[in-house]
Amino acid sequence: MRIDYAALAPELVITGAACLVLLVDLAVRGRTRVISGYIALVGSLLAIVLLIPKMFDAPTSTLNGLFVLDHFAVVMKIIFLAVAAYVIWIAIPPMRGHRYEGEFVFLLLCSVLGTLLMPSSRDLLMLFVSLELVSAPAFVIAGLRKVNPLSNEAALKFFIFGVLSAGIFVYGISLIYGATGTTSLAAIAASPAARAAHPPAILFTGIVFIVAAFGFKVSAVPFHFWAPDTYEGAPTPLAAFLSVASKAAGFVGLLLILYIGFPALAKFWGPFLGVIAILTMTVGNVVALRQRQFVRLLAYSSIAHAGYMLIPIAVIGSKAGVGSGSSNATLIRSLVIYLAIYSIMQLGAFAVAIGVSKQYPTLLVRDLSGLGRRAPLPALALAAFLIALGGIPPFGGWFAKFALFTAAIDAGTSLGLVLAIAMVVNSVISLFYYLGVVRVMYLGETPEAQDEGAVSFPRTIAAATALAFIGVVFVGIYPEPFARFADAARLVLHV
Amino acid sequence: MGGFATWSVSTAVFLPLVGAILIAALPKQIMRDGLVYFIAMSASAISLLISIWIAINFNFHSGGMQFTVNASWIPTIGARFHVGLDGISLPLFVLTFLITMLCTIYSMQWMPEPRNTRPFFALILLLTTGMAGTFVSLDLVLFFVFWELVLVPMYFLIAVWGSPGRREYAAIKFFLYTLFGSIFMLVGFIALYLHSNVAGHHTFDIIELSKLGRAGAFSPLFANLVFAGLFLGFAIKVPMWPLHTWLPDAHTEAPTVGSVILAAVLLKMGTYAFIRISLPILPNAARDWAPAIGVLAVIAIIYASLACLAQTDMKRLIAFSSVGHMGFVMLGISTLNRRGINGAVVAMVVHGLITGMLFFIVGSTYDRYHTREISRLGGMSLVMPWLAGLLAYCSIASLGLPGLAGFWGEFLALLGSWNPARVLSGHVTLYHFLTAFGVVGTLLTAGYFLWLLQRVNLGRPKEEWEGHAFKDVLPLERIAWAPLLILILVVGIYPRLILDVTGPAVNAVAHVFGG
Repeated sequence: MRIDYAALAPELVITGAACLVLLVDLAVRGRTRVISGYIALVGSLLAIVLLIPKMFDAPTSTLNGLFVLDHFAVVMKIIFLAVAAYVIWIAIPPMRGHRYEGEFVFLLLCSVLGTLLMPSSRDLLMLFVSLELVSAPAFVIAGLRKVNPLSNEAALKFFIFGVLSAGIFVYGISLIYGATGTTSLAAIAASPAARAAHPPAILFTGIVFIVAAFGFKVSAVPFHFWAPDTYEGAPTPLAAFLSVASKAAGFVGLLLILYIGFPALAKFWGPFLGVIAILTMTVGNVVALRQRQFVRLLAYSSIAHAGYMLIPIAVIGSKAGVGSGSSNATLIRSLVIYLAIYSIMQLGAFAVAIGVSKQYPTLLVRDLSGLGRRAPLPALALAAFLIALGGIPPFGGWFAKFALFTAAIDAGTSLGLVLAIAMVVNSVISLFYYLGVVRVMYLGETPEAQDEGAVSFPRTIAAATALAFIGVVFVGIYPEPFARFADAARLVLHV
Repeated sequence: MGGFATWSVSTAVFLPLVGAILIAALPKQIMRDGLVYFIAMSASAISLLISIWIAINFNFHSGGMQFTVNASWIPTIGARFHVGLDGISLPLFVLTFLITMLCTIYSMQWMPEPRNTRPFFALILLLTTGMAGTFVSLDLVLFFVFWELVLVPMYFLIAVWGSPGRREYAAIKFFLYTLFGSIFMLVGFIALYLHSNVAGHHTFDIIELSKLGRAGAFSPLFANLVFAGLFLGFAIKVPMWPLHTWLPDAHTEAPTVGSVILAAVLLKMGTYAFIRISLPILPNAARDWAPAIGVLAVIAIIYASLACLAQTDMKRLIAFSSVGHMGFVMLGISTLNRRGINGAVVAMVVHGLITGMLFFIVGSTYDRYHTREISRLGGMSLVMPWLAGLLAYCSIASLGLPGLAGFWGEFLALLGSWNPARVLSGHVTLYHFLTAFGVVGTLLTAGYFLWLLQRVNLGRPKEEWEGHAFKDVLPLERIAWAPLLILILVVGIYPRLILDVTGPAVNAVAHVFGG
């Protein structure tokens, strides 16, 4: 078997960087340990550079078709790597001098490796490996703050839910294998069992199990319970990573399995996902209304956004002739646009949270009060991120919602229409808590009267916040480059 | 046209945004109040000068779009940066910057609590960009972005600088109502886009869509559904009865300049959108809906004047009078003929001048008495003859006395409604009734305004104010008000100042309806 190392280059770079971090972290002491963060940063950026030329190459596959590098995969990998680089960047100040500074970076890189494998997977086993590679290192990171009971709770909850979902996933795979005799997605789609007029019941059970496993990954209701506790207890950079990259990986996996593997059963999983989408966005938004802790608020908001992002996948399922490719390009594009823009808004908000957490480790919403006076620029940026998350122009989020909305209506199915309306209604609800935070920042009294001094932001965090702010403004005013980039994400069914 | 003329509209629209960014981003150490005023003032003044320059160079004989820019923006979804002005949008465009500038001047005198000048002026400038942009957008996506851009600044102006008590309730009510409407509007826009076909492509372009609409490209059922969606979005903004309930709250709780901007410009976005989007793109649906709109408009007129008679709060009274005046605008639009629509546009501009001015006066009255309860006022002509005189002048203008600006818009709207467009010939009797009730409305309007004057201006000051020193109109107030006061008189004597501008563009709109 010839292995196409060029196609695997980003994964190899990240693996190399991870190994290098382990070695270097053994050798250095004290403040110089920060070097591991920079190695990871350079590694991620290098991997992006290696990927860019692939945008213009024809899709390839290697490892006997287990690994496919089409334009969809390239675009998603660039997004994952950019998110990873950003998270590593904003993790440098809070992790500096931490006992497990090097381990954190190493584990994060392993998780990134999992996200990179996900969009290239075309086989259930490969998807299983990717999914676990994303999750397992994150279990450990969640518990890195050993003496903190919240961190322990976070790790344990995350671990138990994660392992349970892994078990369910494998069980689902076994059922599907039993029904179709293969684990390759393309072969499943072509198998007589999946194409039969009355497919066997275990196939449906298998799909339900797989949706449940990925529902855990993307924190869809009712598989979301771990997310708020884990986000709150885990080191905040990990929460940023989980709510963006790991979630996005889940969406990619779900899309690949259902879209490539089970086009014939779309009548079943389309509405099924539609129901989950409505539940997810509604529960996420309604519960977010009551949150007092900022990271938990972001957690529930990210659950709500998971609901929105399930829409394109569900709508694909509601369309006739799912497997025919081009007709679903708009929906897939809207998912990619949403993932990309959502990453900017969410990461920006987390960057500000990390900046504030230095002075206010509890990160209550109340702690943000008066931030408009005490740290005007970060407060302005956070206001922009929150308004963007709410989908109000001129900040980037409106375009993400607009693209999703247009794609859902364009599909011309009743499910698309219902989901689009559910999304806008939910967007209105979400504005209550987003604007609530903004209001606290500008109107709230500071917690203690003597506490009127400026909130100092580490320079790294300030720079990262500024970058995300520029991004969110740019996308809001001129979204075309993003739309182009997402448009390039053509998912290829057969190479 | 080349060079500056091409980009003049965009410059005027985005200059306030630049000002807002400057105010927000410059470090606190150098941002003293004086500099904030200076930036806010120069941004709005330069934009106003540009808009006046555009008006001077405007071709008043053409009904088409002028000063257009049609540049690529988001080709992936077919949205373009297409802006331009015609005779309908030009007066509103100029009005937007005029009002912003006057509000800035006024705020130098009366900065609402909690002062905090930086965010206040940044938000006002942001608001200005949103409003001005709405009036020049010729692309539905661009229109939507500007339309929504207005929401957040207005929310904060009410929620932060409003009168203590119910301001947050009023702010969130304004926000939710408008957002609720704009969702349906957005659905309508997207539906239009997906059903349009220009040489094999979908389009968001208002001009292209209008051409398709005239050619009858949209099926009756589809057009009526889309019209319903747009109607919800626009009618809430106007606001039309029975969707008006956010307005009295928002107006009453907003700071003075917030109310002024809300009344003078923001409401016009809704009526303008009817004329710019609903009527040209969906002419047949507009024909079907026009009688219903006319009926709602007349209900608004009567209802608002009755409500005004029942108000005890002076600001709330003016707020309700806005509902009535916007009813006349909608009545004018519902006639679908030249006279009516001309009347509607004139009434929009004039309502901006007069009601904007009335809110200024109410604000200043409050700043002196610290109450807006009509029963506690009285005898103002004795203690503050100038302020009382101005209140009388604007009230009389507002009730539509010939010779002042308020007369023309409502007169033309009523005149138009007696004889609606040819496509509405089946409903002439209904429209006769509408005219009759509209006239009754003008009588009621005169009634409540005169009663207001009697209670506030005449009589003797209440005992509680004895020994209280009142300052009559201050120099900065004079500067801020003079342009509006003069315009009210000038338009009243010479309405062609607006009618000559709007005429050709209105003809282009009304042409479809045989009006």
